[in-house]
Amino acid sequence: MLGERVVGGKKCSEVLGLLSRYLDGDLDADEHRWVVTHVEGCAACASFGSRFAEAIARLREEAAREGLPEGVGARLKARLRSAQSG
Amino acid sequence: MQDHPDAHAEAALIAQARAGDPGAFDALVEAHQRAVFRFARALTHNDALAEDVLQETFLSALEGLGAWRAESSFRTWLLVIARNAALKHRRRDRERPGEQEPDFETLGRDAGWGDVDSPERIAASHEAASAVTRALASLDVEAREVLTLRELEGLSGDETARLLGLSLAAMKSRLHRARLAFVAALRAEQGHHAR
Ligand SMILES: [Zn+2]
Repeated sequence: MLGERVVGGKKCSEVLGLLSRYLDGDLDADEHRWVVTHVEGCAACASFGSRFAEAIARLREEAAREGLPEGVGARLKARLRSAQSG
Repeated sequence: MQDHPDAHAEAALIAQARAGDPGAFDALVEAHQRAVFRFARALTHNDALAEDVLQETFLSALEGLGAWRAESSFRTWLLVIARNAALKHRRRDRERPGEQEPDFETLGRDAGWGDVDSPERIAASHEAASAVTRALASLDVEAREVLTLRELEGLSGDETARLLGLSLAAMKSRLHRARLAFVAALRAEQGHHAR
């Protein structure tokens, strides 16, 4: 990383390693404070952190959007019907 | 999940289906077929194979309904069946055994970590949809699998770890790696398709 910095007592790479657990609300109080303090003083990590969170939010939106491809549901139903009757 | 029925209503449906009511089983299929297909596709990377896995999953579920226990959600139970079915189909030759897992920093750099000169934005939701699909599809099967379970199916960390046969810590590490790889892939997609 270009000029990895120490901000709030933590290096950028240490904060990078905590980002998922931060996003999931899974950090203990100390870790949470490290991330927040670091990001307040490090523009690169602040920018990457919001990009990271936004990308994961986009991924979650996919669940609502996706349907079954044409015909898949009907063929499943037919297969189950023949299993149930036979 | 929006298509996820509540647990009580679902337990009632399962009881009816066990008693031989085909309408009740249809309702269960209706509620879960999208999730099972999505997961099967993440595992097989192939719509035709995913459809086979979907059918096998519900056929096994129909036969094995008596084996379902209320401790696990019905959806998780189906996903376990789907995973076993998909593993039988998975073409080993596409995997890369023994390859070293990249560390978070390597993955992070690909995802734009530390890239102070490129404050590019993630595209608006409607533009991003197909890029998201392509980015997810470009990842390796382990990454697609953990992301599908956690971000698309909305399983808890514990459920995901159990389903994958991993410790919670190992699952979290795999998830973080997968998310970084996804951010990198999405960035590449949007870079290639930006105006
Ligand atoms: Zn930093």
